[in-house]
Amino acid sequence: MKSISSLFFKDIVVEWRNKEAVSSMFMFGVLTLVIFSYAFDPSGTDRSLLTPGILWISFTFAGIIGLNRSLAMEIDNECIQGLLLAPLSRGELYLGKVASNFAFMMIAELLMMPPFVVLNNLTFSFQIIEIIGVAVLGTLGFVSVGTILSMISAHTRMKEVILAVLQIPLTIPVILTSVAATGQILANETEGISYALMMLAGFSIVYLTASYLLFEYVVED
Amino acid sequence: MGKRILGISSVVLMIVALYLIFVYAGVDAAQGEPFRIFYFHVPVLLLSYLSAILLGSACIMFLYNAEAKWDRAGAVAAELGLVFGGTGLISGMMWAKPIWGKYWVWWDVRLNLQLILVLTFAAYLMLRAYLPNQEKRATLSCVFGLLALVNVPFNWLAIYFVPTLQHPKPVVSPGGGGTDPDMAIAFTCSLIAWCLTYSYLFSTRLAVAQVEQEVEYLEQVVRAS
Amino acid sequence: MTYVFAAYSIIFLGIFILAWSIVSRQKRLERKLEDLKEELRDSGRK
Repeated sequence: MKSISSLFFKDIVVEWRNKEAVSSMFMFGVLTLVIFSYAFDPSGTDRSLLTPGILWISFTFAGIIGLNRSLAMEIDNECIQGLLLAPLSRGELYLGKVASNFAFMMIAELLMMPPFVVLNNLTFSFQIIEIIGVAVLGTLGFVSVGTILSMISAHTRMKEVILAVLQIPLTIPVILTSVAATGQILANETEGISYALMMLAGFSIVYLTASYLLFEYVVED
Repeated sequence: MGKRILGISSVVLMIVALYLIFVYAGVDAAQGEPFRIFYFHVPVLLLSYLSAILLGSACIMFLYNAEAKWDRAGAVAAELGLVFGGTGLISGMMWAKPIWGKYWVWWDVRLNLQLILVLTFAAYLMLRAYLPNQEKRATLSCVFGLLALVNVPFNWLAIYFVPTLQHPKPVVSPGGGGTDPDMAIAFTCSLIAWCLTYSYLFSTRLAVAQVEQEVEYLEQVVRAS
Repeated sequence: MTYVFAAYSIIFLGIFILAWSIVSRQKRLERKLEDLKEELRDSGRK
């Protein structure tokens, strides 16, 4: 537990110094929000159906940028070798990376919420807190898959492209469920939403466990 | 020798199946001519599910005892799964257009699962293509294969539940067969023909994959000396 | 009816492409083996 938190704090400190991850994720996310809003005619009446989708596409693309960047950071200067030599089990290494990726992605998403609310003419009400709640579960699922896939794609030639190709099919259930849940919240029909939340939580638990067990196969040289 | 018998019998049975489908079995009362697509479409899709199961088992076996033959079997299963799944999807769209009026229906569970399955096969093969080192390729693609295997129930849950949260339940694609005995015979023959074809393609491709690996190894030895 | 024809031809096309790729791989392997034998013979002479 202590080793996971020290790995986590190492990443936080590095990020605090250069602020690369969060700023690039935030910029890319906001640009995606804007471009999709333009693509779907901001003044149209049926826009409300598209809003949750646009939000989650922005989150997904920002998340892939963040995963790529965190991966690149480890590969440059061969930091991975240093981490492997440390007295950490492979699974703890995985959980530490998940924690830092999750933190950066959540910060970027929180920063993206105000532009999202403003551009879509929503209100800053309790709804937003609920949407963030769904985002927490969805992001956890996204990052639990993404971290192990980023280590897998680190061994290939075209790392960033392969990461996107591997990541998107596997995170389809997360995106589908999160978009549906967000749509329900925005439409104020939160009846069956516990199904969605349980599914997202179940996804995260299953993938965290599976990746924890499989991570040793991925980092051996 | 065995492979040759397999190959010849699959061709023969395929011709018999075609005869049964187009001449022997009658025209379907409800759907007319397009129903004939099902005689091929359903076995092809079933075999793509089989490919997925084979891939999953091969990945588990490889991580268990690290023998290269499991990794090869997984790769071959993925290739066949991609072709069978892809052509199954397209033939399904050919059926859907005259019957439903459109090529694709979102929120139909089986359609979407099939699409995601084909995308997963493609991603697996693309990963393998970008990993030149043989051992790394085997290990990493098996890890990805297992992660993708775990994904399947969640996909089913998401596609099944999500529409009920927002939209009404959609049309479900009907199964094949029908109650007419002629149709049942034609369908069974087609199914067996396709199983034989799949086995033949699988065993041939697997043999070639094994030789490929040995030649790769020989190349390294010769270049080194 | 055209849809039936299209569906069947796509399925057969897929299978033929698969079979053709297997055959071409085999040919490529045989060529490689011949090249390797040549190389071994040459390096043996040296």
